[in-house]
Amino acid sequence: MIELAVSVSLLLAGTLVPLLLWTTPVWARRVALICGVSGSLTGLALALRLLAGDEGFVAPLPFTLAFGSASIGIDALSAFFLVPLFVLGALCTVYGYGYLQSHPSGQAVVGGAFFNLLILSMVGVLLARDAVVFLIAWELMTVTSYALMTLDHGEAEVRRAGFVYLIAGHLGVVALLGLFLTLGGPTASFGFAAMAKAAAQGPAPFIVALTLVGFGVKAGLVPLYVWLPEAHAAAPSHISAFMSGVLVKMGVYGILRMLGWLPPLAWLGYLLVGLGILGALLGIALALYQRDMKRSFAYSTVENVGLIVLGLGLAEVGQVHHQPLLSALGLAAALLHVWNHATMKGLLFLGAGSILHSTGSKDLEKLGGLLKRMPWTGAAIMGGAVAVAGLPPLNGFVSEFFLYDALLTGGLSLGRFLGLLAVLVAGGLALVGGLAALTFLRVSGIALLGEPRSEASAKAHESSSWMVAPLVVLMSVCLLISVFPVAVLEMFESVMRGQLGAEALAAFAPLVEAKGAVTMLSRCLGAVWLALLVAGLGTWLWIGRVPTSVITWSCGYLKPTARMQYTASSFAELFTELLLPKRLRPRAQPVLVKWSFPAPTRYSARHEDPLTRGFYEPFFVRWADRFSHLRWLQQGVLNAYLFYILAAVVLAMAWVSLFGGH
Amino acid sequence: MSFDLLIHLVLLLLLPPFLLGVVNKTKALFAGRKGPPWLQVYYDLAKLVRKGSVFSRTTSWVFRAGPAVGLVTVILAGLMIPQGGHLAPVNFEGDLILVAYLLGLGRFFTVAAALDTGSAFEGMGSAREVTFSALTEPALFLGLFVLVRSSHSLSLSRMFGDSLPQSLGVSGASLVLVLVSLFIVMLAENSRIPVDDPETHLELTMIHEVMVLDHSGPAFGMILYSAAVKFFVLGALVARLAVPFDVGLWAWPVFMLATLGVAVLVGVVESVMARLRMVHVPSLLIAACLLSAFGVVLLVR
Repeated sequence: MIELAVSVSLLLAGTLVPLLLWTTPVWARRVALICGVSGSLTGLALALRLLAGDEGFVAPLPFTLAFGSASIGIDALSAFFLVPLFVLGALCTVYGYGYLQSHPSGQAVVGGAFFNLLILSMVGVLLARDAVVFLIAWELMTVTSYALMTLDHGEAEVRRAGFVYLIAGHLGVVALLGLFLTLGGPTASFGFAAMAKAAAQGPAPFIVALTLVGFGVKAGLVPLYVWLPEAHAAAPSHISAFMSGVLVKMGVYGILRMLGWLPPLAWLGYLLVGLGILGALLGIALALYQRDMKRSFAYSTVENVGLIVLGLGLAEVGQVHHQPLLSALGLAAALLHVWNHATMKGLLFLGAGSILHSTGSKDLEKLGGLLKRMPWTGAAIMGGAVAVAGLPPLNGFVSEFFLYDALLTGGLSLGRFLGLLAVLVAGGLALVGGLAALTFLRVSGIALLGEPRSEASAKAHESSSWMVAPLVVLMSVCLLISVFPVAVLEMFESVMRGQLGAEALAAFAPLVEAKGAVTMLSRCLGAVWLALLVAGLGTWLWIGRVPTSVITWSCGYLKPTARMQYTASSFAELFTELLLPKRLRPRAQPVLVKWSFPAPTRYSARHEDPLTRGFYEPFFVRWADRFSHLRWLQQGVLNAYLFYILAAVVLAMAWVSLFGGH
Repeated sequence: MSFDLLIHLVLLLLLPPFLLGVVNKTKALFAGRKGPPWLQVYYDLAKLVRKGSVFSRTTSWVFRAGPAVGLVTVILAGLMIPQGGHLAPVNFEGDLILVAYLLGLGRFFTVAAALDTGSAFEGMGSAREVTFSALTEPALFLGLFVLVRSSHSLSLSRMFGDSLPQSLGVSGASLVLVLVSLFIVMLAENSRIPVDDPETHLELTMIHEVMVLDHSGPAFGMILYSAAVKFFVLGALVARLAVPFDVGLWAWPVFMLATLGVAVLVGVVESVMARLRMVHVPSLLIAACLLSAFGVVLLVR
């Protein structure tokens, strides 16, 4: 409790004081840094203590808001999401301090201060125990992240991405408003406890639809993810890391909260499994051919959210069919993947930021050879790529292991047809795994290995320690989770008990005992680390000190140049041309070579999102046209908008007093 | 138990190069040649280990780590893959996932090492390797899932162990499909005809060999050796599926004969077939996926 007060006041101070110290930007930024890091670490201590088994609390706020009293509280589920929030919060604050050093001082101060506000608003989202506090915090989160995302608003691409994000966010809020009104409206009580009761009896399909739209937009569910690639690519990299690692997970938090309120529903379980595997496949297929490194990572976020939702769906299916082991495995996979994705993707985005900072480019075709020029960043990205491709011995593999385990358990214990479906979904998961390896080999291999493809990457240099240190910390966290999964799973116990009950926990217990599968797995991963270490040492002693002496042989090239290297586009071409459905491919202008003396020709490919191109853009353009004669309302004068709000409120009041009332 | 363990390790570490010799002899027989000696691959390895190394200025530590990671992963996977009907030295519920992903890790670093040379040739090979392996992965997994369902276990040692003879009557048809599918996976994973041609070094249609063009000396020896071990461990699964009977005391000799049989079969396939055109390789791999999927469907009753 006291930690919470300290943490919140530190974050608040970190927001306000820097803005007041505007005139001395150096000090303003230092205050933001110190307050952000210390506030996050204090909060982290509280969250970890709660996960270790301490009791949470619910407390009314000392003031009332519209719709009655307001309250905050904390339980295991909130604490579970607070952990990645504070870990990445602290690390991104440090990283941002280094990253914004080269920005104009005003922007840097705003960036530091608003980042603390963003952390604070997310704490609000996780701690809210009634709809009004929740929505205020949720809005604050959307608006602050928008402001941070558009820090480089000089670029048209950034402004466009911000616009899309803002619209998507607000469409989501409309659904959330509808959701809370459906649940709390009839009894006029908007506390979470009362709404949970209402949800248990309410019209389930309607509630689920509003939940999936409202929270799905933030989480990047298919087909609502379209803001995500734009926003993650355009934002400053520590903001991308934070958005992908934590902000997107707020949507997952909402879905989880709602799953706790609703009774187990069979169709909801199947729906989540379907959305999950579809999102994973689509996300990774699109991540595969992006030229922009950060866009590729953003699509991979869609994939990973798909995997998380798949786990949630399996948990739901297990509950409906009374398979406690299945539901425990599914939920454990989802929870572990929430943490894993926060660390791995945080690592990758921060690494990409480091490259962008040093070379001025995130275009894969302009990078290359960076592992030698930026050894720390390069090694971190290599590690992050292995982890996020789900390969052992890093943490991404552990959550993927749980997903397979859950699906196969389902395949064995569910009925005929469902069991068959579970096994086929597991086959789909194997395809996702293979494609993820392809995607991340492409990104890390093209950007880090070989020869530099541009002057700027040839001159690249390692970033400052402010930016490298967070990478090292995140890499170590990935390593620790992979070697001690049992300890991590123990922290999830209270969350799993809260969501699924004691039965599921009991079914899960044998897995983490001395001879259980998870224990054996963690030992094997430890053995893999050891073997790799020994082999690495042996190789180094054997051939490690042989100097590099020649140019690449490659069957006798005399003068290889960087332009002769395989490019990122050609690396993905085999897949996009042979296997990807036509609609999902990038739109390319093919190279036309006519007759024997060909003229100069050019190749170009556009990588817009197929869903935006095929559906959202035409849809919104059509409706914008239809409403074009209402443009005169748009005066661009602040007073006019204030007047609209006043008029709307008066009208609403009139409506209530005329037709409402009991 | 300790006797089985000893044989497992000896076979895992010493037999693989001989299998490549068997493949080459078979091909020589078909071509009417005398062919290289049975033990040629051992001679090659001994020669490579004693040679010096040459490294390109473009390369980084990834290039030197690649062969080592490839070797470690394939041997660790070999410790979990059962030989014949015996328990593997390391087994637990879910080891099949670790095995498949360990092979994936080895591939990741082999491919990364190829990209590290900065050559167009090797880049091309790496793109092909990972694209095609993205398709072999579901085929392998679905094939193994059939065995998961027929044995009710997630451990390779159980799936390919005692339960195999017992489930023969119930799931025999599925097992035949899986056998074919796993054989295709094995050919693809080991870069054999009809997916890839291990003989040529300069054809543009190749995958594996082009990736390792720039490795030399001990590093190349490691690559050659790990390729042989991979051939053996995947071949061991195919061999067990081909002879899924309980033969009591004869288990080890029968297993060894079956493994040699698989090697001969690979040699026969290489002698009588041509390599597929690159654009047709995905069809073959998708066919393998579908065969495995059919195997799963047949088990629904």
